[in-house]
Amino acid sequence: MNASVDKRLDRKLMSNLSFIRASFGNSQDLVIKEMNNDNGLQAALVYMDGLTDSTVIHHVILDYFMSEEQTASRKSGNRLLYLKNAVLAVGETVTISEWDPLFYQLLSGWAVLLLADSPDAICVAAEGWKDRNVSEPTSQVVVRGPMEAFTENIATNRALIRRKIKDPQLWTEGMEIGKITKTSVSIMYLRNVADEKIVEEVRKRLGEINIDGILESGYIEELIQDTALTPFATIYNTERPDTIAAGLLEGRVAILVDGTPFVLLVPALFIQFFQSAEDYYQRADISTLLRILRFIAFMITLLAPSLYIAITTFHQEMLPTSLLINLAAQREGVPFPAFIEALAMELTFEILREAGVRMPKTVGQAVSIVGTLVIGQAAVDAGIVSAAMVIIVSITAISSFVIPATSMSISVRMIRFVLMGLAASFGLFGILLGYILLVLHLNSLQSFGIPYMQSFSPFIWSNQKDTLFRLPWTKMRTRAVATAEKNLVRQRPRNKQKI
Amino acid sequence: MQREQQTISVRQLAILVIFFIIGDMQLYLPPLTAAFAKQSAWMSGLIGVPFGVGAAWFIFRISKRFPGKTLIDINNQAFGKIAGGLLSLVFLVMMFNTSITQVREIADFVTTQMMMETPQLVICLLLVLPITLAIRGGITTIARLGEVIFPLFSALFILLIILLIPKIDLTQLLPIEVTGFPGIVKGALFFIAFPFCEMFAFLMIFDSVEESEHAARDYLLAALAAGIAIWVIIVLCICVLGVFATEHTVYSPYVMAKKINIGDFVQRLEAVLAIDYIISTYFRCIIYGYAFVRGLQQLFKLQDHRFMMRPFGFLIVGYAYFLAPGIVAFVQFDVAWLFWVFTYSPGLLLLSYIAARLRQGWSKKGEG
Repeated sequence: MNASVDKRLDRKLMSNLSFIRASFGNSQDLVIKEMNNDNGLQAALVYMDGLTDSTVIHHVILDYFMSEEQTASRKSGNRLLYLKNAVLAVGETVTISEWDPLFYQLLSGWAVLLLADSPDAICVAAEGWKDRNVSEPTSQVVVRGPMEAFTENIATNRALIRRKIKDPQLWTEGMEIGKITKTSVSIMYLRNVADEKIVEEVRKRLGEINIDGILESGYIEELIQDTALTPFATIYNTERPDTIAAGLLEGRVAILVDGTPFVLLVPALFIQFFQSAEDYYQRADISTLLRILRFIAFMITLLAPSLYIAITTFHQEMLPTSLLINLAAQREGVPFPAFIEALAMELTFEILREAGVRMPKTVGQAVSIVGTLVIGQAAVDAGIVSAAMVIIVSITAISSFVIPATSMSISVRMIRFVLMGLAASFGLFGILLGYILLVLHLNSLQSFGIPYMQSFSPFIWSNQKDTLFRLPWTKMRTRAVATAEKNLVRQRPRNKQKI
Repeated sequence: MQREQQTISVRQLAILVIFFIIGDMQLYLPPLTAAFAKQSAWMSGLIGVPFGVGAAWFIFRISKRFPGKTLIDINNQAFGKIAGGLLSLVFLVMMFNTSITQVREIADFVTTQMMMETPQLVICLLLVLPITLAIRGGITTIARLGEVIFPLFSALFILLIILLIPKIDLTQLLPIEVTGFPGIVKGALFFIAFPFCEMFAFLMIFDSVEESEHAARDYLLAALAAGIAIWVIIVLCICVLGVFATEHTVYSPYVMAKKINIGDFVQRLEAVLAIDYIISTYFRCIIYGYAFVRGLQQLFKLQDHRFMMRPFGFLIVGYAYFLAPGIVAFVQFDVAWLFWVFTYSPGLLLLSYIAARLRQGWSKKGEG
């Protein structure tokens, strides 16, 4: 919209209305309702159809305006103020005299009441549009734990978090990002726990964003991350309110973006991507074992194909003789070297997975049938790949689904291919070099000033209670040193009760 | 390095000390000690551990005496800017040489034992990136890398030792004494010189270590643990392979690892030893490399060290290739190298230390 030469509203109602019409190019969903009441008050109600709640528009604003205004026929000093404070029986009203904020409110679903002979307009909160209900999380599933996920509505999302943490210290700051989309973004943190430096850094980085549109929290994530040159996510995202609440209690900062159920949590550490919300709801021993299992799965999905390539190509002596003969017999008819074989199979699997994600649900079955044929007995029977390779690819694929955070499993997928190349060229030596480079890279990463590998390097003994292991809640007396700066104590030592 | 003084914790220092001492020694020390002490190589080790830890303590002591000062500063204090600078340069040559020697050792090992067809140059080239990246990041990066890799390293090391237990034949240690006391001492000299005396590179690192009352204790414990670890490797080597094979194989521990066989299933785990060897040698290389680069930066008062990483990377390849015509020639250096090490530490180091102490004393008197 072209900002007018005159940024402020005019005194004349008609010129204001025509300016609004012109600015919106007579858009269909712009509704302008002109009104005259018996007192001779000329006014107009402007709102966007579909963004507003018709109940509020009809019963609250129009009814009251038509009736109450009549009874209050006396000429009070400021009619506008009187209207705003005494007549309109709605929650939130703002007086605006400039066009830009007025348009913003209008497009956010507020109704704008313009009066004749007044350079001010009353904006009335009347938002109401079709929303998805709070439903079950789809990407981060738990067996035991809350079954609610964030929605696309930022207000609902804020409420979902507030319902878990009822403390006035849970502070929320809002801002609009995106020159055209003007997406509302909120940051939430526990003021008495979170590190003020990190909160300030989040504010600063969000403030520096200068982009035309924000459609998903992924935009924000890429715009505020510490470095772009890494396959690893340095910002955690989740659609689970309980995960966010737990993060806030650990002193992290949540960033909510309107229009997406994925809420960001910073700072994010490497180990966080291996932790599931359920770890804290199940018994500690089970959770610990599951976490270790996840880590083993991570290693398998990262290394299995490259180790297979390295051992079968360079270090056959490591295999027991009977197994070696077995493998050699299988590979006898296979025309490709192990690397090509592995690459082809991994690529096939990646294609299948991508197809499974993108495909309409109704044809989902087709993929699974074709998929089992491609990476399965048929491929072995055709003599293109060896059966052992099928097993390796399958265990790699299944292990990659064990990692709770998708952002981490995607990173692993990418690195796996690099390691396969190194293994094919230099055997275990190549894998070792790749591993050293990987660790070097991980160590160089930071998330909002916190080392990405914190708790492992630098090693922090007191944080080990909740990294690879999860101690029982009775033992977790302090917050992780990584994120929380102050108020470290989570619970007082309990009095030993004698039974 | 970037002058917001990087610091490392005492735990990280201890890990680096362990990596450094075990370094390439887990492959080279058994044949060297066995060559001079024969069956009594284990006794060389027993003598070597306390003396070695003593040497490590001496080096630590120097840094305590001159807190916050590196080897370069100490040399400057001892002999003034010019003579001290020249002495520092001599030390830097040693650091540079030893750093790249490690690269050559890895390349020699990989090309003779693991991948015969791969050219040595390629192995050196491959190592350039991990080495320069680590040194570029400074001591914090190196220390953190060590912290993450250490569990893997120690797990593999312990696994190797446990799997070798069934193969131990204690009769290989008999007769107890073949070479007599001189032979044992000669073996012990290697045990003291290579792992422990070379630790003077840590004089470039100590000033980055956080203050802690446990510093001395943890440091010495790490040195002791690493000393015992290489001693165990020597004992295992003789017990599993016998003296002859230990002495006459360049990489006898590697041959030893080939003997692993648990129920015909877990067998031929020499690749595990190779991984361990490459990890610890790599660390020895980057610690020396860091000491060299930091020393160069201090000596010539440079703002930043990062611009040196590209030439250093080139030098790794070139110098490693140039060091020796082949592995056979390379092994010939061992005895000469022993005395070379002793020249620096304790030799020159002691000289510098005494001179610096005297200077310190004088200046104090002068003030008073």
